[in-house]
Amino acid sequence: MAAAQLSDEELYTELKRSGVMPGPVTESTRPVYLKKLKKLREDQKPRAGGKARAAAPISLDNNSIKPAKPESGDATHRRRPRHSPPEQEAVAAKPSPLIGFSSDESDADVGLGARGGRRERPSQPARSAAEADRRKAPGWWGVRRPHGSPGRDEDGEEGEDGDEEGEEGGGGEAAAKGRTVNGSRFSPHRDYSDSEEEEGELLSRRSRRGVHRQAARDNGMEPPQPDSRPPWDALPRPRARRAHLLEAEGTNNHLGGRYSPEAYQAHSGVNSFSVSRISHPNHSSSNHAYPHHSLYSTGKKPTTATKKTPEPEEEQLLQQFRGEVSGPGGFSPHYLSRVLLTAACLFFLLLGLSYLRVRGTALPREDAVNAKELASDVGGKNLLMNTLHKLHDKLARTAGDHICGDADDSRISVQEATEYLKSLGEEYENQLSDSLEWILQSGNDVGIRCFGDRGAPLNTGDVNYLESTRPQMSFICRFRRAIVSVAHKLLLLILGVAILLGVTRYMKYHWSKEDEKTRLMYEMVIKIIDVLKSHKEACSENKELEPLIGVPHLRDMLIPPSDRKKMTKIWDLAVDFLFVNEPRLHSETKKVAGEDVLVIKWNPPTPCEKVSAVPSKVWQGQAFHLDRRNSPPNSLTPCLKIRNMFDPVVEIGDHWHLAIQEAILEKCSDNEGIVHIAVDKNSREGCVYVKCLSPEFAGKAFKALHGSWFDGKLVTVKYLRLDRYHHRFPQALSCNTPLKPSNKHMNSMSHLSLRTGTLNSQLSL
Amino acid sequence: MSSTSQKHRDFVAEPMGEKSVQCLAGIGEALGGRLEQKGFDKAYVVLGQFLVLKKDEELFKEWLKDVCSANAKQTRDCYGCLREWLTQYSVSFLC
Repeated sequence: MAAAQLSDEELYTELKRSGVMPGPVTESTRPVYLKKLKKLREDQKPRAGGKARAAAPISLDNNSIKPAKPESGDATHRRRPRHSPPEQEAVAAKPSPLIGFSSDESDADVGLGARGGRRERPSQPARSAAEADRRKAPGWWGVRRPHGSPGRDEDGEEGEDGDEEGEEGGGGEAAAKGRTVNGSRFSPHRDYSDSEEEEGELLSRRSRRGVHRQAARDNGMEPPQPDSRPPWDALPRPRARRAHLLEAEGTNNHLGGRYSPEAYQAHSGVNSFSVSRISHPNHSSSNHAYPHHSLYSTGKKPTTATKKTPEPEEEQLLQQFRGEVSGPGGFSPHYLSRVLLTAACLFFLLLGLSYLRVRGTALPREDAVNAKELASDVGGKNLLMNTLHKLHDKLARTAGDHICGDADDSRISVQEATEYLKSLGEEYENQLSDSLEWILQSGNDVGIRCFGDRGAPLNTGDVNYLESTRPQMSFICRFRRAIVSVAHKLLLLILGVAILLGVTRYMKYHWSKEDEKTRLMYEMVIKIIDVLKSHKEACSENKELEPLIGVPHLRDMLIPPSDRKKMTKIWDLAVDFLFVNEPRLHSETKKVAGEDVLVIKWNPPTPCEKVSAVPSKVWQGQAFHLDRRNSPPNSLTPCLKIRNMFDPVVEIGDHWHLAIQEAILEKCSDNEGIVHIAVDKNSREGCVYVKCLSPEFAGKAFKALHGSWFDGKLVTVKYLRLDRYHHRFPQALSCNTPLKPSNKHMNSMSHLSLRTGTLNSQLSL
Repeated sequence: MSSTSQKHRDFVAEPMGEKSVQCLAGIGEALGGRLEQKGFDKAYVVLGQFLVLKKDEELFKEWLKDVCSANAKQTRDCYGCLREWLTQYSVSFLC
């Protein structure tokens, strides 16, 4: 078997060289030490991307010792040759300066193995296949092992290592294909890859194996190395380097998570796989959650990883796009106000125009009417029509002027009309009467109305005044009127809105005031109850106080004079609320100084009363009757230890022990042999020590005290040896005078005599 | 240690004498049986192994895991129990 080839001595020296001081290597300790050695070996391995392989260690663990031996031995051996040479070379240069790193690193490794590695495992069939290969054929390693002694192995491996380094130097990233994971993995970090030369830069199969071994170590099953481990002389260099590497990849593992995406982007095409793997260990080794880094670290395969990379870019693009989209959206309020303003202007313009148009249409219509009339009449009556036209225009202007406030009257008299016609020309002079006649005869509204002195004139002679039914105003006048009317309407609108706003404002104010009032009222209620409670307490302490408080008095207590007027309403509300909703309040009307005053009293709930009613430090009766079964037949010592007399936690003040002494003396009032009492104030059990003159007195005291209820506790008594008592209380030696109760009141017993009947019956149940 | 089991306290309370291996905290019938099969029939034999492993926590736990497939808690209990027993009873010549 392979394991047998590492003898006990070899194992011992190996371990010793690794910095461990092993105990004797025996048959029973051998597997443990082999495992230890294996672990130590693995600690100097590179972090191979956290390829946690649960299978390997488990298979070891689950085996019993004997079957486990060969495999673990095998493992150690194949590791030893490979790594001891660089270790040895390095040791001379770097003794062990960086041992402090080791624990951190191993912790990180464990974390990384436990998390990241396992996740990746199923996605890498190639590796698992290699792993399976390795497990199935341990002889593969066995073949290498027979090299014999460690020294020879090392020599051989040194050459191999040299080869590897050379390959590494030349290979670079080009070797990525051959080495699959390890080689390319660190290509983005050439500066730090020197540590890999020893460990990772191997042939593809070996590198893969390195991964597995790493994984086996990283696997959570093996606890991290304790810090206190003695420096393993081979350990420092690789560890230090790896720590360095860790730092390079991202200090403290935090940066690592950040770094990897960048690196990933840089090498997204070629090294996508490797970098995603870097990010993975970083991510998992840090014990913090990196939600957005998990994007990378969860990438199990290059494909998935590459698929994932565009995401941030897409997101960025999307964000930009969104920004563009929201750009106009963001300006839209700006535009909206302008649009609104324009719309309002347009609206008013249209309003004004329509208003002017309405006024303006009056004239053409009349023309049409006139033209119709004209056509219907004899074609030759041009003069009459002209007269009518002129008249109509004149009248309309006058009416317009009147409306605009320029003319006094909207009508013109017939004389004025005649004069106006005369001024127009000779031919119009006699047309007035004809015109009037025609107007009256037409019966339609031709735009001219005739007024007589008595209502509606029937003939031309009666007509005194003429008036236009369609006043024609100047443009300025019309404009002014339009503005005025619009302003008027606007004013009305604004007024309405203002009133509405005012009402809502007032309602809000009102509500807030109501709320404030309610709050103040509740505060007042609480204050009142507090005052009443404290007053009640004061009353229970000082019997002379009147438990009833007048309501006005209470108010004066609670509200300062300056606020009294302001708070009247609230006070009334609070009092009403209390009377309605507070059943613990008792109120009655009382005559004080000849005046009816409402007085109130606080009636606390009954349990409180009971508690306050029970006085402390009293004997409450016997729990059981003493007989031969539960008490020693006769006392042998004069000393007693009484337990459960008090609870030191709840006792306050400096003199409570005196009350307890007093209570004991009173309880044993018929016993005149008590000479010393000591209360152990610090005892948890409430111990009191009593010394009597003789064992007989002690027996009497025992009977009096044992099994009594005192202050709600069941008192038990034990005899105590005299020498121990004296040892504890040397001053008791000289005590020979019997102690007596300080007074005859027997306060602690009075309760007993009152309640004896009921309590005894209750307690004996 | 935040709290110890009754078994732990019992074991630590007195010299182990000829106590069976099953009296160790964390070692029940199953583990005890396995240990006995391998010759670790008395508690002091396990103690001896513990001492041979130089009272190293890691190594001892590893050994216990190997020898009787104990889980983490069992190894921890057993280790704690032996360690405390040692500090209790062998202060003069061991610690």
